[in-house]
Amino acid sequence: MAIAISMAVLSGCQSSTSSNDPKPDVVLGTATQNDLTVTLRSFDDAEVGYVPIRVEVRSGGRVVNDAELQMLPIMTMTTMTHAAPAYATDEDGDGAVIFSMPSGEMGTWVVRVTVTRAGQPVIVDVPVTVAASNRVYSFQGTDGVRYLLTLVSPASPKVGSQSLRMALHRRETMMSFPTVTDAVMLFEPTMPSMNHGSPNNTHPSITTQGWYDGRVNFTMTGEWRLQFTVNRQGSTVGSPSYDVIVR
Amino acid sequence: MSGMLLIALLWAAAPPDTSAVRMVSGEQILIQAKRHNAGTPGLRSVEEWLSNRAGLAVIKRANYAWDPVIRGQSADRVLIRIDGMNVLPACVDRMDPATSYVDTDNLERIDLSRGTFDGASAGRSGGALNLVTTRAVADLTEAHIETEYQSVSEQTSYRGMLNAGRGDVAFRVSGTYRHSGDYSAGGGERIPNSGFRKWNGKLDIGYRQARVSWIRDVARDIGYPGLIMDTGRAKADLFGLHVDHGASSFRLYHNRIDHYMHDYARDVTQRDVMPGMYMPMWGRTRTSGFSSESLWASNDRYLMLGTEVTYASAYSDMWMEPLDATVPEMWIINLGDVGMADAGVSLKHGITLWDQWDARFSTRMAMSHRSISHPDAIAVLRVYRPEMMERRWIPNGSASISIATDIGPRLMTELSASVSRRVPSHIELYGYYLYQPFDGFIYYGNPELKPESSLQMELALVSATNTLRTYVVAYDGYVAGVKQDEMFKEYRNIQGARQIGVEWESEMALSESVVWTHQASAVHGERIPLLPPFRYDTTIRVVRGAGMAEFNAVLTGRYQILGGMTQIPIGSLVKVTLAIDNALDSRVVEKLTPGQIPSPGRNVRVGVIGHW
Repeated sequence: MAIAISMAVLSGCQSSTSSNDPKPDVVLGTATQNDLTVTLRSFDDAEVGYVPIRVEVRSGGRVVNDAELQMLPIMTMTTMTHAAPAYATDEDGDGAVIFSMPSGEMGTWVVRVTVTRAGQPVIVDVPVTVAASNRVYSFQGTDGVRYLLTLVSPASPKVGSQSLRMALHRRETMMSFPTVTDAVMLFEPTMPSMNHGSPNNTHPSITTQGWYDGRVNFTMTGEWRLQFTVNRQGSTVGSPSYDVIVR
Repeated sequence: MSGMLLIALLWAAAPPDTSAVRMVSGEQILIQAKRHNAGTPGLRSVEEWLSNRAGLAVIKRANYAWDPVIRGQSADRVLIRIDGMNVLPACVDRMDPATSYVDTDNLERIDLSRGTFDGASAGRSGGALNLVTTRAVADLTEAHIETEYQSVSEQTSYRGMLNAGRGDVAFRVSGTYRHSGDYSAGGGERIPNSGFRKWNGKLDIGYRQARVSWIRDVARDIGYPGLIMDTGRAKADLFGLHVDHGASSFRLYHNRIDHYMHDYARDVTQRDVMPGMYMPMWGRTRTSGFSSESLWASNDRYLMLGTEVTYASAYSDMWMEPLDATVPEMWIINLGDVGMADAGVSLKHGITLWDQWDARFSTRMAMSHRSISHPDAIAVLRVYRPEMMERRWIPNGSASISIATDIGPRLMTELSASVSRRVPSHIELYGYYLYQPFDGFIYYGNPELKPESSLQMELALVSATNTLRTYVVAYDGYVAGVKQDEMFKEYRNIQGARQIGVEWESEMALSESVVWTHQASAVHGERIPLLPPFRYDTTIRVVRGAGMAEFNAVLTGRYQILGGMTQIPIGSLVKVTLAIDNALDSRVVEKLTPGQIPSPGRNVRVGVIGHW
């Protein structure tokens, strides 16, 4: 499960690192191509959803610091291959991808890392096993567009008020998933087993970084449902929902 | 006056030394006075003693632990003390009002203050009750045993007391055990989940002017048919050190209350509120305090100085266990480590102004600190009140003036006025997810509540046999639940709450052995929920030697109840009690009973009392 520090890394709020901050020390996978060994690390095992990844490149056992890095998650299935959304990787090797489905009989994931040194790209496919979760909702919009709506945070919902971050992508091609920035998003948290919701939530709205940021309130532990309505150009294109466990 | 219920209308509210200055605001209900001589009506509970007083009523959530109502106000607007000690109930649903932790066997008297006119209620607009327990008496050896059977619920009760003392040392121990099954309402309907088991004991050790006391009360399996849960276990330990020194008294105390309720005995699949799950709930409070009173009195004036420091903490949480195993458990923190610190000073001054004119002034100044420290509770409350403060200082207090004068040969009038500020209770400030059966809403607290102010005026006419009181109360910022949606209410300060009431009490001696009493009260209010209906209560009591008999009738707009009892001495040591309550087996549904659960029907009580 992605945890809080990943939010800071990817939202541009890169505060100084303290010794108490969790480190991305879970190895998602490693692969070697030519003399380059690429290791992908995260804060937890990979699962469907938004996964922050730190890319470590070594050559001859020494860390490579002068390479440009790009990541692209690719799912290879029996009849087709497709990608998933990915975020730019910075000079420290920190980036993120969105895995849209779990590994399994349906197919396998690799994260394709393009290492560019002195203008020469080297492609390294790192196999990654992705566990199931319900944090990505893929739906066919009423406008005919295929969308991926991802619940980025809260990663570990807790009682109280917390930030809500969503990512919305559309499938342009099987290998291209650009961010949708013109949607209007509404949501309502409810607790079906208790027949109530919570007050004073803030609908997610688009930020300059391409996230949809809002605020969600959970007033007790248990299973909550986040019911979204996604509108584009004045029309509702989908109504995805997420069941989350608040602890 | 004599009789099983000796009512003393005091000319002064506080100690007898102040009797030179006449006032009627306070009242003492004597329970144990001349007990073995005048007789006792059997094993009545504290609440039963209170329920037939003018201006008083009870909220009956069960056949047990009725919640006192004074002048239409209850819960946090009534201050209930035991031997002057603050007692904070642990159940957030008011299943354990403080009165439930004292048994009548330990009770000497109840000091009753209606309204805020004598400074006893610490700003609580309804008034105050102080349950004064019986002390160990030196140089006295006596014992008392008692047993009783009640037909309506097949309740059996056993009670014993032993007092011994020699020289400066006195010792008293007492205990009561009650076991009640489900009761039958008028007409015979059996009310499920209405039984209980309860044990209460008290140890009192005195040395000269000091004494230590320990009350332990344990109740189990208490059914609350009008609520959605029952009490599994309630346990209270009340420790006190009391020292009298001249005209001063001091007390140091600590009490601990733990309460556990659940709905495991209920069919939760069919209920309207939170169906399909069990909801065990825990609550605990701890209260410590010190208080003192000092009195200076002369022939025409007195001055009382009181000080008080208390600290109380409260915690409560609840699990929700769905019957559907695929639904995860849920947890709610209802009171998240709430702290309540209070320090106050009170002054009461009574003076005879001139012939036939008396006056009393009282004032109380206090500072209260309220806090909540459990992070989950703070997080939840911040959902509703993002700017809430975790800690608050709240100044509060009260002031009153009463003037009494004769307006006829045997007729006195007293005019009183008071202003007071009540600190919102910990439930009103920090409570969360509390179901209120009277309106079906779930309440949550508001940490930003302001103190509730009240202005009260009372006019009393007092003759030798009658007391008539009328009063008005105007509130500023009355704390009440305000609907937020179809399910929730939040405590808010509202405007426009006011009430007016009238009370009449009469006691006439028809002969040397026959006394006829009447009590009636009515109250009307605006924007105040749960005001009790008009009630008239009359009793004829006959006392002959060590025996007695009484006949009682209660009339309201909804029902009539007739009852009677007698105590017959057998020899010098033993008495037999025979009583019948609700003799006509009327089906009684009281306004102040949640869920409109009918009260017990015809009840025959048979008891045996031995006193040595």
